[in-house]
Amino acid sequence: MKKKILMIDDEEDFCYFTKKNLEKTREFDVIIETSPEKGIQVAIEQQPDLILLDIIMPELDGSEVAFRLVNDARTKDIPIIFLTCLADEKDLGRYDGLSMVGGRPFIAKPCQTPELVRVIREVLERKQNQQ
Amino acid sequence: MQKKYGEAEGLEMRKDLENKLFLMRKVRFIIGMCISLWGLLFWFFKVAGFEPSMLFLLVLLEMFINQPYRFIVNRINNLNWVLLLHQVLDVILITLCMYYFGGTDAYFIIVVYSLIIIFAGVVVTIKSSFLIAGLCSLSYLILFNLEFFRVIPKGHVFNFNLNPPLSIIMGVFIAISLFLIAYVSSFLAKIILKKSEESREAMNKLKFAEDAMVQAEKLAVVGQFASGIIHEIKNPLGVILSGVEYLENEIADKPDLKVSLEKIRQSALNANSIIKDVLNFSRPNEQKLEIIDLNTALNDNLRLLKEVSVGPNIQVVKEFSREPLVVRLNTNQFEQVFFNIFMNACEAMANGGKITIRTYCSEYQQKGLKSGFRDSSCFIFGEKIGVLEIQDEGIGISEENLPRLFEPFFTTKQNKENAGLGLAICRRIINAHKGEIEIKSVPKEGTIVIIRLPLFEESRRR
Repeated sequence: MKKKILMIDDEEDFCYFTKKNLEKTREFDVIIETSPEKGIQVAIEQQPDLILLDIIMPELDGSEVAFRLVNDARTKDIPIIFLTCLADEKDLGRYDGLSMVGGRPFIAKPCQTPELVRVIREVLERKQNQQ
Repeated sequence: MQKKYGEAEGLEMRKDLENKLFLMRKVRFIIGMCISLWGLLFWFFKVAGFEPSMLFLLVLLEMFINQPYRFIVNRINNLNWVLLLHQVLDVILITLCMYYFGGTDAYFIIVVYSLIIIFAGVVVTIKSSFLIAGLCSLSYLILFNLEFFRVIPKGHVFNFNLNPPLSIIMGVFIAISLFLIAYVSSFLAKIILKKSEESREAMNKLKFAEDAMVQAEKLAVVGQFASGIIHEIKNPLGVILSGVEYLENEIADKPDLKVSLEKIRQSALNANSIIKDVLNFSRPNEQKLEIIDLNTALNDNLRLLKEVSVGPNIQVVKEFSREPLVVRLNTNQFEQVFFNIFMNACEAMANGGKITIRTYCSEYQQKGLKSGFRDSSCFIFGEKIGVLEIQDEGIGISEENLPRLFEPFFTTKQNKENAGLGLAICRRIINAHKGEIEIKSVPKEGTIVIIRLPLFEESRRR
């Protein structure tokens, strides 16, 4: 069964190609949301398996979106992977095979699909193990 | 190789020696003129026993020593010998003058001896002033004995008729005086050297401060520029790279298009690499220092290097210190510095060669401005430091490029993915570790990068 991924990023073109690349693996269904506010709503309604969340967005900061999702009982268990162009792999501390900041996995933009897929699989696997 | 760097440094020393020789030539000319004037006065007042022909012979001899100066300087490699020869000739000349003006009884010539001793002490080296004092005493002693045993006739102009015991006492007294003069002149030389060193140091610091100010201004501009637009550039780059990946999957059956896409991907990755450099350079350094042996950190980095190809025919030689060099390092940043310098070394040796990685413990010696940028306030003179040297046998760096190596956006490389920030970042990182980085190079021979870091024990005491 395909995993449902919600991608909240204001960069529409990036979302478009990332969706195409992820769906090409036939493992994921990707929902794109370019508005952070709407993204939170979609997360509540669609209950995705994982959220890919950009940090710098014009309407609402990615960290604020994450704060709301984590503090909402309906979305608190959905794992979040941050996408950021503020850092690269070297800046992100390695923890247990993943780039982590503040206990959350990060992926530096621009990212290559195999790396993105690897991190998504890893995070989903951990969630499954926790359950 | 080490010797060649010494030779490059030696150019500065040679210039210094040439200046000293030039100064000696002038002093000798003045002394020659004084002796001539003295002789003329004797001749004018018709002092008994004075022969002008002998005086002119001495002045001619002095001129003879002076004239081949340029000829000698340009042909002799070791100017120290020329300097020594000049001084010995001076002593001989003055001794001849002394003999001519009255032999050992004309002890007022000692004043001239004193002049060259003081000159040697202040201008040449402290050692040489003692050497000249010794030579003067020896010459005086030889002259005295030759006179005493009647090998040569006694003085010409004056004849004080000192009895042998009194002459000996006088000789000893003169020798002691000469050494005392050498000691006092060396003391004076020390004070003068210290003062000139201080003023040179102050000038260097001023220059460093100016450089630092220029660098800081550049940095501020880069920082503002970087933080403002990096986000805007990285997003479209992300789109390009994701788009290329998508298209590659779609056109798997069209190899010619795949080649084109690969070129687009490479260009995007190059742009991304430049952005990474700018980002690294512009952001403030957050120091997460750990106490580590420099040799261990280097071994870790070298292990990582084995995983990447360092190029054909490149031999890595480790010459690590036996004792551990405990320093405080941000290992990630140090890795960045080491890789940067190592890769530069590899790139400089397209046909292969040897890269020597050397570590040792040393005492910090202030040398002044050599190359690149040195923050002279990093260390205290004589402080124990850990030194890392990375030496290659590559094409080297030209003299005009050497002082600009640490400037942001300065590069001698032709490849497009190079933003010219590598060494600027290295310097920034090393400076943040309270260390310093210096580069010496001999074109067509190779380059040596020297990193000096404070040892942990030393830095804790501060």
